Amino acid sequence: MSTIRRQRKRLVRGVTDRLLNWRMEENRLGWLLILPTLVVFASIVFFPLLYSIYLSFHSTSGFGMTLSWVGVENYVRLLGQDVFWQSLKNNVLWTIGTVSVQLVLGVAVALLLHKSFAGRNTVRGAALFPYMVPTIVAVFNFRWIFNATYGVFNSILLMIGVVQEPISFFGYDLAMASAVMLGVWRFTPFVVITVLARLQTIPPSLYEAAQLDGAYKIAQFRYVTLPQLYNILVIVILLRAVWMFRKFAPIYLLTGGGPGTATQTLPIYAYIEAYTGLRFGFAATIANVMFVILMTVGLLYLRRYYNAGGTDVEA
Amino acid sequence: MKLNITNISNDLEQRLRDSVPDRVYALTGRGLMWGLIAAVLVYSLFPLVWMAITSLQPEVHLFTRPPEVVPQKWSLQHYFALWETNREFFFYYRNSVIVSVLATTATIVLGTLAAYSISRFEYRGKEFLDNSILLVYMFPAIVLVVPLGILMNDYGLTNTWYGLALVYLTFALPFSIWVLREFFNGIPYSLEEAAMIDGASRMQAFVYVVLPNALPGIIATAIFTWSLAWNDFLYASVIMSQNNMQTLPVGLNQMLNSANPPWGQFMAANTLVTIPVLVLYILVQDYLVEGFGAGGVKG
Repeated sequence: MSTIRRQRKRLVRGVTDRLLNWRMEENRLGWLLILPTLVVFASIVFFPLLYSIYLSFHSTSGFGMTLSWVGVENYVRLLGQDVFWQSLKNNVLWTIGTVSVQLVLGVAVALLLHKSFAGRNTVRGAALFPYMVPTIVAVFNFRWIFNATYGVFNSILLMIGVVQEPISFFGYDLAMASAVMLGVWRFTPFVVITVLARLQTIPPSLYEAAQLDGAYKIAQFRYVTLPQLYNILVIVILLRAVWMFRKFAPIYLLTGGGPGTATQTLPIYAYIEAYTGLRFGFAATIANVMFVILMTVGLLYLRRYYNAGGTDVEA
Repeated sequence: MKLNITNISNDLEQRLRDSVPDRVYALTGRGLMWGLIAAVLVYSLFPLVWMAITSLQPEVHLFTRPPEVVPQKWSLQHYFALWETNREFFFYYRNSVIVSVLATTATIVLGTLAAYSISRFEYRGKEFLDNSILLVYMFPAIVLVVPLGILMNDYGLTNTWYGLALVYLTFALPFSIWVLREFFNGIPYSLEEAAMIDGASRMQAFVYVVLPNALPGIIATAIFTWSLAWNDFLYASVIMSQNNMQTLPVGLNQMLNSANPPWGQFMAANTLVTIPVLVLYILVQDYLVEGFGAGGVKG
């Protein structure tokens, strides 16, 4: 109880005490505390969201921001454009590519880091660090390592004779694969952290029981670990898919959406329309359509999960 | 058990175990594990190690074939060159520090108050509030960036530090409230009651009793907000149009996209951007994992 005594002592002495020493009715205080947050959300989230819908029904020109009402024309035009479907396809490819590799790699690394060995905490720290590396740093390190002329990766491949010509990693054919590789490097630690946290709560008795039933490592993984991870993996897949689908900076900084439209996803399409083409109304349309797609798929996924008997999980 | 791949492999595993001596089997397993650990380390750290090595090698040594994986000569010439020829970099650095500190402070102040309100008080509409906060966290940034860019311009907040910091609250605040609420829920109410019986007001109990107990959560959300602001490209590129107001990601991107990039200097700049992240990460690593485990996850 000594912490409480210390805290009580501090109570008497605090300089700011007088400031804090006002009293009011409970409910009103509750509202008052959350009020600043509500004001912030109203002005920088809900109002802009409504404004985005409003914008999408207008055509805008230049920085003068002359809005002229065009009804649903932006939406009709967007859905009739090849580049929209191309971007959507890229977006889906990028999402499925990064999420699936992240998932497999993340679970594998989590299993490895769950074992006990000397220096485990340091290794964990190192393996999770890419998640903290700023995107711009990760992107430019990749561009340097995989550079066609001076990149160390190509040099090594040439040296050991795997290839005769340096590989152009950011050319038309490989640009998306390179982007996926970057996304996997940067974001897999999220899967590792969450799976690792879940692994630590699996009771060892389950493994002992499986062992008695004659299950070796692979069977233990299949019949004990995987079912135990099921709920958390459902949530991890959802979060990762939503977050990868909406990612902008990693691909934009790596390839700018190019070459051509080889790696252009919907956020990049919207960004280019807004800040190169200055067509804010049309850009808002792209963003809104993307938002609707994201929410629909997300909700359908969750509904399927609950219908299949899934339980609520605290991620 | 049904007959399937898992069972067949289980069978194989059993036979393998039986056919080699136990000691050999254990040793091979051990060796395999260390091999995989080494692979994970190289995979995770190589891009960063290579960045540091590049930044510390003299220019002429950067383009040799085969590349020098262990550098023959060390030099700080790229760091000096960065100072001489790309002085803007240090302005970007200053802007990034100011904006991320502002965003972090605002998030912690607003976030702790709001999370405390949700955790401890009952009032109408709380449920709805709680759910919408979570929903906001799932919004794609690109949906908000176009209208926000226009609105911030109308309010006269573009090209200001606090304008950009304010924009980061759109994602930092929902996350923080979510994590902090979990922490506050875990602190027994009797602690505050004891303080209030001793004559403390509700807010005194909050500041002196609740906040110190929620420190790991506060640190986790502070790190999250700080790294969000340090990392963001999208909002910064829209809100800061003047070159001298830009933050690191946008400024660096401009520097780096020049036709004939001096890679040594860029890697020096990249290293300088990574160092504060690394230091912070090492300092608070334990809190971070605890914070993310407790309520939280981030994108």
